[in-house]
Amino acid sequence: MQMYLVSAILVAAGLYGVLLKRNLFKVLIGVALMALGVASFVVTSGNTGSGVDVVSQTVALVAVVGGASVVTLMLVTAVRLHEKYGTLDIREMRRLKG
Amino acid sequence: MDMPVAVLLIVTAVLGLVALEARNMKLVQAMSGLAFIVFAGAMFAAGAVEVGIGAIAGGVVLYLMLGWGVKKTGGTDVVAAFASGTSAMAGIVAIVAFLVAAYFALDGLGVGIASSTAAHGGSSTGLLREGLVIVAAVAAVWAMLRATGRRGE
Repeated sequence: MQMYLVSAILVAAGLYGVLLKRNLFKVLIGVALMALGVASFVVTSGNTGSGVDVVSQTVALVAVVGGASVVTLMLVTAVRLHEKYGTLDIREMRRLKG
Repeated sequence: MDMPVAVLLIVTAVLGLVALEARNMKLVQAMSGLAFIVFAGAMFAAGAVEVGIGAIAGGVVLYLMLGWGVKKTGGTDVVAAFASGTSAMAGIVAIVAFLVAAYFALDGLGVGIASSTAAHGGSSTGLLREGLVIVAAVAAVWAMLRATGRRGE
């Protein structure tokens, strides 16, 4: 129970970045934190006491590496958006649209 | 085993929050990379070696890409530190609601949802596949940079 709650706190920290930060880089860091939280949840669920289930490890690995890869791709998009709009502020981008 | 892993995961969350709150983007980059490394340590302590290696690989890629992005966009976060207004309040309510819902859901779930078979270290096939995912992501980044660079020609 304790480990699951810690995983939920990690996801909540990422959620904080996604929902409340306006800098696009920080939103993406929030997404990465959420991926770590999900991975730790899966690892915890696969813990048998003598080790971690192989399937759980694989799913968690997909969550971590997939999350990092998606964030990396989005970082490039964020840099291109900065070149176009001159800001990383998502509200400012919305205002400058069109 | 649970306590050291839980402490390391909480340190990961704290490092992530420091990264989110810092205004110096170099510090943001460093804290993000460090969060991944501490998370990898937590996974090693939990016995999930494969996940730990994946976290280190993902963290290194993210750290390098963040460094590149910071160099391109400037070293300081000029955006307001904390969003205000009704949308920010709705965001805070959503986070609190998530934590409360998670608590009650986990309370009902109990603790034992583990599978019957366990193994230390995972499989090398999984690592190879995730290595290919990283290579594909880097190739996609390179392709995007090439495509956007040629647009003006």
